[in-house]
Amino acid sequence: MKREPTNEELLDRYIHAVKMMLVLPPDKMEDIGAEVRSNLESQVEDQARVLGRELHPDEVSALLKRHGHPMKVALRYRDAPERGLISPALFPLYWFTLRAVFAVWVTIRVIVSVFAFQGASPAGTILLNFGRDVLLAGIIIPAGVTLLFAIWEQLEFKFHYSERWKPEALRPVPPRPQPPKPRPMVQFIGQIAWLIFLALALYSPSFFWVWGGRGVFSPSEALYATRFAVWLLAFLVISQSWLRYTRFAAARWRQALRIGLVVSGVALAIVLLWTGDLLVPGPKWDPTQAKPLATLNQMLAGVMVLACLLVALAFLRTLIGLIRRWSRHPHTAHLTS
Amino acid sequence: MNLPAFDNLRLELRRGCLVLAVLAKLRSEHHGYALAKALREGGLEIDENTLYPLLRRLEDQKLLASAWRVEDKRNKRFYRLSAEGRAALAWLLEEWRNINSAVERLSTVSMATGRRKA
Repeated sequence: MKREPTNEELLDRYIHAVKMMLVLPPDKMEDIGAEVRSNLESQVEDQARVLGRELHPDEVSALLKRHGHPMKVALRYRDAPERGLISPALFPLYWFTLRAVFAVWVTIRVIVSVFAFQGASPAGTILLNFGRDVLLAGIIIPAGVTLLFAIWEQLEFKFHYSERWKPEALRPVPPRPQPPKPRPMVQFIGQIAWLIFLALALYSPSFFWVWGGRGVFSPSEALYATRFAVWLLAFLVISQSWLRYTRFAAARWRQALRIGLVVSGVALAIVLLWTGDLLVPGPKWDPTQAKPLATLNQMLAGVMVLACLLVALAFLRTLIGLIRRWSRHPHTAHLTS
Repeated sequence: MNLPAFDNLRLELRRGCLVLAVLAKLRSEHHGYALAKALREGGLEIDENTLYPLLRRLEDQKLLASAWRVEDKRNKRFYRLSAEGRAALAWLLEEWRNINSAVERLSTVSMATGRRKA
């Protein structure tokens, strides 16, 4: 049968555990150990005096538990001032950098994955590679950023760089950027020119051939069939910007139109992506151009997917903002442009 | 008081006061446990895991002197103020009175202004 430790043994064990966690020179360790023991023995004596008898081991155990875990006790005796790997002063910048680096990395990786997917790599492989890379980045990026900041912190602690600054050496405040002057006529002419160009590109094959490879490539059947929808969408997007500029319609109607356009644009893009390549071999097809055609299709599809993702994110953000505003002020919330 | 930050504010406020109270009490010699009891009885509760490292730090700063001695058949470490500690205590007490009267004055003025506005 296992023997229960005596009061003395409990104290010995506790003091030993504290000393082991002190990480100090042996004489200092012994000194602190003796002082903690003296304090605990005084407490035991005091309690025994109140009770009028010796304490039982479970009472001593409870007293030690109240005194705290040996590690917690030892930590209080650290010689160096309390300093983490990253100090509280540097932590906000550290946290911002960590998140920014991770966000930039994920964005680049998403773009690469989208183009890889358009390059006909199997979706499962791409997802698997993406997940693996995100997991690896989740370890490597924090490790790298933490290491850099820890080095910075050590150097700062040693050399106090932040104390050597001079107000005169601070960068001058850059001039406040002036908003561009509205030039409605230039904008209007540019937009009309763009609509004419789009109509010619979509409706006149010869124009498209000049623009898209002198007859080597042609628009796909799906793109050909939806050309009016594509042009109309472009027209409505431009009209919508004019409605906002002239404040022609009420804000809520402009907002509704914008939502409608976003949904239609995304739906059209999905349909076009679903049907396959946007460009196909034209009447003057040259087999040596197969690779450029594939790359062009890959680029077009990738750009469309990314555009859809960005639009969807912006849309989601607007929607969340509206819901928040509505939940805060259900009576005054309204759609604004 | 239900403010979630109250404990932290209280801790910050107490930190400096504890040093002052410990120095003041150690004008006469005490061992750690007796000092903790005396502070408690004086209305200043202090955790032993805070007190002992604090005593050690104050000794490292030469504000306290200590010696091991046998009392009641047990070895105990006794602390008392050093000459530097006495000077520091006088200076700190002066500072404490200044802060105390400034806070008192400011809070009285603020309360009076608040009443007038109301």
